[in-house]
Amino acid sequence: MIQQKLIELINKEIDGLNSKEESRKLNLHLAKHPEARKLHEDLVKTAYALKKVEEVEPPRHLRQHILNSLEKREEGTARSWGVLGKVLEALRGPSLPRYALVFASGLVVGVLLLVIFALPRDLGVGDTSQLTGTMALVPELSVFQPADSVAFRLQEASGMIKTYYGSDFVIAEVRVQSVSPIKTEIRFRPETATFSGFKRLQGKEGSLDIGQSAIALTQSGASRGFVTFLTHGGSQGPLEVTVSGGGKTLYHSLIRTIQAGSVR
Amino acid sequence: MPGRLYIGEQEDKELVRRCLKGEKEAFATILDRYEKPIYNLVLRMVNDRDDAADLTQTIFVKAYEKLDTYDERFKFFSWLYKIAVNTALNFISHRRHQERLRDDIVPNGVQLEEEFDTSERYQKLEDAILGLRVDYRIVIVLRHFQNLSYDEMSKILDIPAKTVKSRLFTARQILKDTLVKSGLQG
Repeated sequence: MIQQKLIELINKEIDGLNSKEESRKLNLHLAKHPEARKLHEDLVKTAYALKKVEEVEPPRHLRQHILNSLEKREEGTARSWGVLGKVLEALRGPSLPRYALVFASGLVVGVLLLVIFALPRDLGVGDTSQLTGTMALVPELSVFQPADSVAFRLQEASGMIKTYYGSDFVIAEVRVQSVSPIKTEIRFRPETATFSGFKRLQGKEGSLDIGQSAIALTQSGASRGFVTFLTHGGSQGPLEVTVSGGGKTLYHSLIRTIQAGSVR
Repeated sequence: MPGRLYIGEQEDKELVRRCLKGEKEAFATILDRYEKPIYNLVLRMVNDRDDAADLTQTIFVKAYEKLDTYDERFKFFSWLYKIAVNTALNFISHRRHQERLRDDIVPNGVQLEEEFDTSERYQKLEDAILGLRVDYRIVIVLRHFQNLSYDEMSKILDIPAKTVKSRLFTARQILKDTLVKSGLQG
């Protein structure tokens, strides 16, 4: 029976990993143990036989095949997926810095979300000077659930109000066209909602009055803007819309903040 | 052959960097360096030239796609070999039920008619290698055909160096017994 330590020394010798001291020890052992000597000789022969196994040349076409397949993969993806394919390809392959692309995509999404959600909330509601101007980016409201819409066409003014909602917010899109100043007031239930912000998308400077349970926009000409409310859970109920001008009420309506038949 | 792998370590890293910047020629250079070793590694594992060529292609495509996951703290060839070994092992595990010994590995330049005896001996050796259990075969291939150290094998195979040694010693013993039995080794 050959000791495990001796077997290890024999194998290390074959691998050329023994120190001089270890080789000397091994030779002493081999001189004393014929069985170990036989094993050593056999394993040396086996290792020698393995050295005779020659390398095989890869098929001549293989290199070009691999390069072509990489090329075709990229072309194929780009062709079948268009711009998205190119983006996916960039994400998958190493040819473009993947992280830069992911970062850029994240930035675009982030800016979009900022425009839709954060900006109205961040506006200092007392500083109406920030509420004018035209936004370069128009939020795509179709990504939200539409709730309701009302429209009015009067001699003094015409307009439309649409509501959209999410899990914790309500957005009212207000469009009004008038010659003389028109006030659009939106009443809400303060127990279940808080005015969050207003963003003007179109129209000249006007005024915004913010109360505990109502906001009022006053302006003339064509205007369009978004009013955002944060909801606190529970049933918000409808918003109450009142359009007035020249000292009299021109239009009054309730507008739902959730789709008919839906439950928040 | 394997000696040159160490020499090119820094160049490998530079090639990877260039490749990640979009220089496709850099990947072609990587391919030039490693096509043959990887093809031979896979060939010794699967024993079929067509399969080896297909797998080599798969390995390089995988490597290309995952190139940005390569960590420069490690040797590039270890990373590439790991992909190669895993791909080959995966292939073998799927093919295992129908794996058979084939006689199509003959080194270039060997003339069957003229050197029948050499070819026959060669075949027996091939058969003995292929008769090894796959976890033994891989250590023989990596150590004897790719000249990798225990430590490198350990990293590629994801097993402790101690296990590598023990598998290698056992594999050699089995191989030796098979060669003796087949009369190839006295």
